[in-house]
Amino acid sequence: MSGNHPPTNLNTESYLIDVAPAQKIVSVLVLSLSLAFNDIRNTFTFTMILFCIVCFVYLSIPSIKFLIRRMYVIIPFILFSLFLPFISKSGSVIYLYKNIAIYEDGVFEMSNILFKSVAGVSMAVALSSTTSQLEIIKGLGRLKFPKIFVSILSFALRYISVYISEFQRIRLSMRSRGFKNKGLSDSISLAYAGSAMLIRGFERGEKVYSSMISRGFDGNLFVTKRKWNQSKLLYFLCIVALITNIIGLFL
Amino acid sequence: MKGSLSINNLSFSYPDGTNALDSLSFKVVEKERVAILGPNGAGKTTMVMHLNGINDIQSGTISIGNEKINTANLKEIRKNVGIVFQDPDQQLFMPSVYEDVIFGPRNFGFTEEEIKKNSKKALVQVGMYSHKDKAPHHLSLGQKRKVAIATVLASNPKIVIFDEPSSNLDPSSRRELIDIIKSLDATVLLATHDIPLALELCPRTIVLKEGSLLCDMETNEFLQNDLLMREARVELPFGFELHHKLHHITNEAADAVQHKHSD
Repeated sequence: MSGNHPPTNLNTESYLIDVAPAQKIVSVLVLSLSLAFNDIRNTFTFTMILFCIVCFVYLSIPSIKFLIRRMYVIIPFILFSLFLPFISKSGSVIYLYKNIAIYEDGVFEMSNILFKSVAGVSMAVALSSTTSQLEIIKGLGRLKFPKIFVSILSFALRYISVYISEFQRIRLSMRSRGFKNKGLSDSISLAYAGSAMLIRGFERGEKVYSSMISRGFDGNLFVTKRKWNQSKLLYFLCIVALITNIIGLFL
Repeated sequence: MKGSLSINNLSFSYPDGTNALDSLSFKVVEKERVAILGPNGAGKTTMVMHLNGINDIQSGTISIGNEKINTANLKEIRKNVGIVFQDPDQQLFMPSVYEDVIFGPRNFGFTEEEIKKNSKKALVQVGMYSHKDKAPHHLSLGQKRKVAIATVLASNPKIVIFDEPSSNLDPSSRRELIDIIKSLDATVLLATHDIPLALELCPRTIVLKEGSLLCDMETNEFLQNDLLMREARVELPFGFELHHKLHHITNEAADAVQHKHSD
């Protein structure tokens, strides 16, 4: 539990590193939602929004390799989408070989999923490479997210490592007494371990609360303010995405 | 508010009926360092929780300086009585060290300038200023303990109470902790099982047994009273016992020689 120093994944060379987290969060939301509500068939709108996203990602990440290494999570979605041209039996057939047909709608669906999933995950990677988890939480606070929600997120971030170490200790104790998870019948022991961890978590919560009130806590959590830059380029990208959306409605 | 403390006939029972404190009374004068000893379940932590109003007083009174603890002055009491809890993970809940340190001063209504000055002073005092932007959960246990002390010192308390401060610390972290406690300009109460720590830091010892006061005497005197120590279920660590007795014999011999010379 003690002394675990995580690697710093922040790209300190990025132009966006000192930009206000709130602005970055809003930009990610605007660009992601713009992409989500558009279809690849609206070529102009889709390409423009994709271009804005590529700009944002390019400004954030240190290298393509960095981005690719963090995108493994979307591999199942990509694999699933590759089947769509063959199984989506709507629209015209654009290619036929023996009994295997490739459908037009399926190709569009596949492209939609591919582009959207890659762009969405790239945005998340880009945001996390210039903004720490703590800054993201602070940014949410600045965006007037409910105080209780921000506090819960902040505590979750603080105590998740404590829970993980607690569970690792329990597992170690089980293993040292010969426990091996051989199947469903042994999972009950893991379930007991999990519930013990939750009960300890509840008790810890009470203790933390005691510690908070001993230092004068009366229900209000103060957040430290720091000076951040505002990026005109991010404003520009968001405005372009929004205008493109509006133009897209009339095309 | 002064840094003196007075407990009169304090009794406390938990909802399940367990009597944790039973007519406990003692006084501590300003700037005194006192060890609170006793076996597990003696009521040390329960008593500590009363001293800044976390546990409600069921019967008896507690005065900090000249003020009795009541609901009206709880904020002032908590500002003046700081508790360093046994588990630093219990005390460090904010996302960064600095935010944890300023948590108390902000709640107590210090000005921004005072907050900056106090937090820097507290972090420098415990040697953790360079870690102020780190997340508490990325620190080692010794570092966490130091930060936990800084979170209390930042409010300039008149009384600092430590609950098992040396538990799970390696020898060098323990030594650093001792140096920090020695440097405090406040009344210090040390609830502990660590006898060498109590002996080094506290000239006076209060021993609790089953929620009552067993004895209140000089630490050195208590550690030489085998009967009392056995009753209090307190034991000197192996090796330390011999060292302590030899040290005592040497002191007695030196006193005798000095006495002979003066005659």
